[in-house]
Amino acid sequence: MSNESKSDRKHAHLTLESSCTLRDTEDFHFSLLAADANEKHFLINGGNVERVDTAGLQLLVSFARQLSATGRTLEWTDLSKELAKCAQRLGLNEVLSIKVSVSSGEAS
Amino acid sequence: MSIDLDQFHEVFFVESFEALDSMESCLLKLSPGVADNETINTIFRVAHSIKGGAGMFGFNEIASFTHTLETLLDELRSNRMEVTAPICEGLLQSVDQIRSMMSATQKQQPLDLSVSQVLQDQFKQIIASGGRATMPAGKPPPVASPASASAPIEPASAAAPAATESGAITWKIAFKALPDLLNRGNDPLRMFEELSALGAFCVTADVSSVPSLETIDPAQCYILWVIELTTSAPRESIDLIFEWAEGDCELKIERVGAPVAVAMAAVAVVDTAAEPPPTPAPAPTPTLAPIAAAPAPASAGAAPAKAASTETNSIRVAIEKIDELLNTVGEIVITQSMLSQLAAKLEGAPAVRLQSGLAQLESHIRELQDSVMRVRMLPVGSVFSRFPRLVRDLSTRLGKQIRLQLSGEQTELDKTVLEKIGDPLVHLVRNSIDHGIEAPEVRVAAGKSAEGTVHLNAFHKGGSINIVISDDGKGLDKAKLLEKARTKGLVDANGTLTDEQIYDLIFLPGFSTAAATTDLSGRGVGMDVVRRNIKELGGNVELRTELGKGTTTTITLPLTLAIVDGQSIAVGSETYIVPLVSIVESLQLKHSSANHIYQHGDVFSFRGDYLPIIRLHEVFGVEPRSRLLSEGLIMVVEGDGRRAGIFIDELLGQQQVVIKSMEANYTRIEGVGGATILGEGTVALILDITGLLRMTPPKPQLRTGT
Repeated sequence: MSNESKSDRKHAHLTLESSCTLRDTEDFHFSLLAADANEKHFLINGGNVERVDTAGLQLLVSFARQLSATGRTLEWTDLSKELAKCAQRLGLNEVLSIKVSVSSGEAS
Repeated sequence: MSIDLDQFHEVFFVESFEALDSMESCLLKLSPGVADNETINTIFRVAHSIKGGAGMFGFNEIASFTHTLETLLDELRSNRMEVTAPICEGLLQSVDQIRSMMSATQKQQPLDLSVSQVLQDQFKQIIASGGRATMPAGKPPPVASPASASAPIEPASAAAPAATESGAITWKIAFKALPDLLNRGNDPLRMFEELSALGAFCVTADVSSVPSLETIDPAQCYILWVIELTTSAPRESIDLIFEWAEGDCELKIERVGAPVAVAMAAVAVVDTAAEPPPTPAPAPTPTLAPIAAAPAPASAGAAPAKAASTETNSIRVAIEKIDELLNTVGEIVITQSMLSQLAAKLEGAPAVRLQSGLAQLESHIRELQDSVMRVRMLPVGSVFSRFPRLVRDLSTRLGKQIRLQLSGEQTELDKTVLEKIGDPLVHLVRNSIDHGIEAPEVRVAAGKSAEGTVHLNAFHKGGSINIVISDDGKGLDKAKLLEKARTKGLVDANGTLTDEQIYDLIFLPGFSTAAATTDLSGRGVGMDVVRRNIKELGGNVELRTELGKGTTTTITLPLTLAIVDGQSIAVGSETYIVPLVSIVESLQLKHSSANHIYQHGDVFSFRGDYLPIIRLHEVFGVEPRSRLLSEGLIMVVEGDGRRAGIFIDELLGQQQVVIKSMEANYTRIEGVGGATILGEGTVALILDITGLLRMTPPKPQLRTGT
């Protein structure tokens, strides 16, 4: 399960697959390593994610910290409910730049 | 690196089905209104084990359903709810539903969630109502709403909803994964999901130890968490959630202050590599201690599926491995037999020593063979265990009162035999309940107790196992049986039959004396199949009945299918083995005793009946010593309710032989049940008497008038 990543002017893009779990970490890890992170701003599409676990979220955390350490930003263009809920459950909203609306409980 | 958990699925299914049997057995022991905490705890632990395993393998529907079940069971074992008849019935239905879901998942078929959804909703209503049908006013539901638990809490502003409950306690839980946590199928996400269901949940993650993408090992968990949980659930509920991770994490759980509303810290993420966090809250670096052993529930009823392996010190072995071992031992037996025969021809002192050594070897090998065959033996109780539920459901459906008595559950027999005897036993028990045991008022009018008894008993007798099904019902009417047989043309109108022959009639295809058929039994499609199935296992079934008193059916089975006690016979230069269980007797015919009947071949008179003669040399294309019936022997054999006489040259000895499968080594041959290797190294075919009889024309409808 590899994800495509391509540069588009000033933004780099990454689209997550439907499954980002421990079983998928080998491919997922590779796709994150291969992601073009040279651009200042990184757009990530998590709208397809149906299954995610701690291992998958941890890889995203590692990726997000790497971007942050080099002054790059991460922004979600789409976020599935499952991904948002799981990130919130593990207390990873802030490091993954997922904003949570208290009133609705939904993330963006 | 990713782990393929599929290889463990089958083990999970096998263990879970066993656990469900145990759960069902315990549920049947529960009585409404009686607080049997030990049994409830056992049921709870089983449900908990199944839930954990299902979650680990991603069988989320099963895990979700079992989670609701577990919540209800938790209410029962905490005495917050009473055991009622509807709850018992619902729990039994849940067992059926989980079995169905497991089976569908095992076969990779889509799940039908309609029933499970209904049951889940009913359980939630029961939980919410504290065991009553309607939702009571003012009583808080014991399961906190996930939505409220997941919303972040502002500091010193909104209090967690659960904190307003009287008796709610705030716990601080520090969690650190050890290297093998994720690889063992434990996921903090799932554990925190369950925690959040207990009450107000607030989590802080420390990601400072998460390495870069270049150096990270994805299967290791580097994140530390501190959770604040406010819940009225007991401490044990929290411990249970982390039970599966015992040994794979460092966990510290401590109570925070008194049970009052607590202002909790905002959700924060600590990342020392990034900019300083905007809030002044200190980065939590909890001091973690290795997790203490999770306290066991109050009762000693641990999950039977988990505890069984440590208590009984057993391991699971694939049946193929045992069969391979048995096969090799069988070969050793044959080789030893050949060596003994060769040694018997030698002379002198060395020969004597050799023969003595071989005799010892034979003794050890027989012991080894017995030991290996015993490995395949399982207690018949595993089949008997399905009957309490069957009897309960059937008796309720038919409006009868029936007590089931089981004895000899520890009697062991071969696994293959055990698997195949289940259906015949079910049929016989159904017959007892449907046609044997009378309705309570009928029983009372007959001077019996309103409650009838069905008794299943198993015991060893000689080299066989006997399973006896008896009831104290109305028994079979002999006169009715005979009349029915005459009406169907199965018995001559003027012919007389012994009691044994009359009772044997019910094993004929299409024979039923039931006045009315039910969907349970009575269609006459059953007893013949029962007898055939048992015969195929090398066994036998007999029935005894007394009008007004009851019926007893006795099934005799071999202990194992790997060896057979047989009679060696000679036909020409070939040796064959006839299973002893098929032999009636052997006799020598007088010259004029046999008759040839058109379309039926040769027949001979045997105890008031004419039986066909099977010339074995013609069946197998062998040259016999003589074709004259008077110069050979007739061995009367029976199978599948029929009898015939096999024409042979000579009777050799009786011996126990190791069965080699024809199908596995060559192909299926009608009339041949297997092969064996004799001591002199030659191959002997083992006859399948039932198959041979099927190859011959049916016996003529004649009577000798005796």
